[in-house]
Amino acid sequence: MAGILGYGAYIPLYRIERSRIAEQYGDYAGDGETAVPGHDEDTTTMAVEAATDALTQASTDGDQIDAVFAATTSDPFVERGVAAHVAHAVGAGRDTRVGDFQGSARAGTNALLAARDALSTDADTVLVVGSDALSAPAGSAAERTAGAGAGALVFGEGDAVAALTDSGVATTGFVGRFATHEDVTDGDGRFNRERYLDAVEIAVGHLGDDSFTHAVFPAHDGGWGRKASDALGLDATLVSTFPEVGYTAAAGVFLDTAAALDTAKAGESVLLAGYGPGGCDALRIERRTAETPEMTTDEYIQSSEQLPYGKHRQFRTRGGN
Amino acid sequence: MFEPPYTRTRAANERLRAHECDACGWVSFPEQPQFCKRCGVDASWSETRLQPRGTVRSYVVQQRLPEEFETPLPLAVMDMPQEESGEPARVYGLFTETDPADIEIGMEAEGVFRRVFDVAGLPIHSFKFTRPRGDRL
Repeated sequence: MAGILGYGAYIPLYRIERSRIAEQYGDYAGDGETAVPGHDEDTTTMAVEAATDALTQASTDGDQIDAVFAATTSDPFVERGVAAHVAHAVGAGRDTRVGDFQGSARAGTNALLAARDALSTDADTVLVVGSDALSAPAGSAAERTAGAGAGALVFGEGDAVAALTDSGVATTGFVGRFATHEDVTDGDGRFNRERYLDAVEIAVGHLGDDSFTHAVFPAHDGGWGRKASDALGLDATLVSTFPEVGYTAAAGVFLDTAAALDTAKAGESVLLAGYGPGGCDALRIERRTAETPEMTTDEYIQSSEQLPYGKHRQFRTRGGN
Repeated sequence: MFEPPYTRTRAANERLRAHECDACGWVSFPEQPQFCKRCGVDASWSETRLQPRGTVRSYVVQQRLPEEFETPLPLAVMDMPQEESGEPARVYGLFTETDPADIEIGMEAEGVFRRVFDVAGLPIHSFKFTRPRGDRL
């Protein structure tokens, strides 16, 4: 068991209605909105904002942090990293261990499990962040849902607001959706969904207790969570930021979890199924109190400003997102 | 940030490290000058930290700037309080994501962590100011 002292979310101010993007190409206009990073935002800045909220709730100063783990699928750099820069910005000391988790949306749950393991060896306090500003070429199907955001959790000893109590893993090696720095390939939707459900069922099957009040299934297709919940026979409230924020890959693991924790009462439990190329990790997170951070995920969603298509494109291009 | 000046100023840029004059209490940010700009002594300085928020004392709105800026851009003279007690630091604050119609003298603005510019493709991060997100619900 690993105690969670605080958590936080961050969603950029700017949004675009997916129908506005579809209109540009004379396509069918789906529902929902997508968060667009500002021209001066990137994976590091969003991670720092979410981490600051989580550290404030945890009453933890930067110099108390023993390790910082960062998960992303949209780091524009091949060599630079994110975790060390988040660590510096939040005031972590020079003896702080860091780890970057990338290459799959599952990096989010990979980082959480690494944090749990670090707590049982040499760390007392671990900050874990997930941050993504997904890129998508103009006119591509992925452009409509390529979202941006970040989330963070602080693990440590003390007054926990929640706890990570159990985990199950399914490393299938299957790759459905994948991305290069330039493009996104979705592949065969139905075939991918079957492999997705297979991986989720294996991972959740390894959990000792399969009763949950809340469940989050961060995925690039807004309908997959419902399918997974039905396949598992869950009687849980599904929580997702996909309708308002879009797909946020590794960051979505943290954003959706934060949104579920915001609504879960003390004693309730959240199933988190983190899926991406390679497989799925299932985590059980139990709520200890009903305390929420200063800005809830819903408040980040509600405080927004709409962008027209051209401006949204300009911001993505300028920010390298 | 691999260039010496940006490595040396990183604590000021990212952690809001400032310096307080031991003789008169004036706070210098972001530089640490040889002489105190207020009392003029060959100063000894104590390290301090600013809070990521400030009060607008004066501002102008820039209409024309190089392409990396979002215009119209409010630029303000801000007072930023220290984490501990003492005088606030008077700093030059870039705004972001704020309509010039929403800015006024005396208003409190939130410091947010942003990319300020790039050096040889590497981002330099620091704080900009904005109308607080909590006020935009």
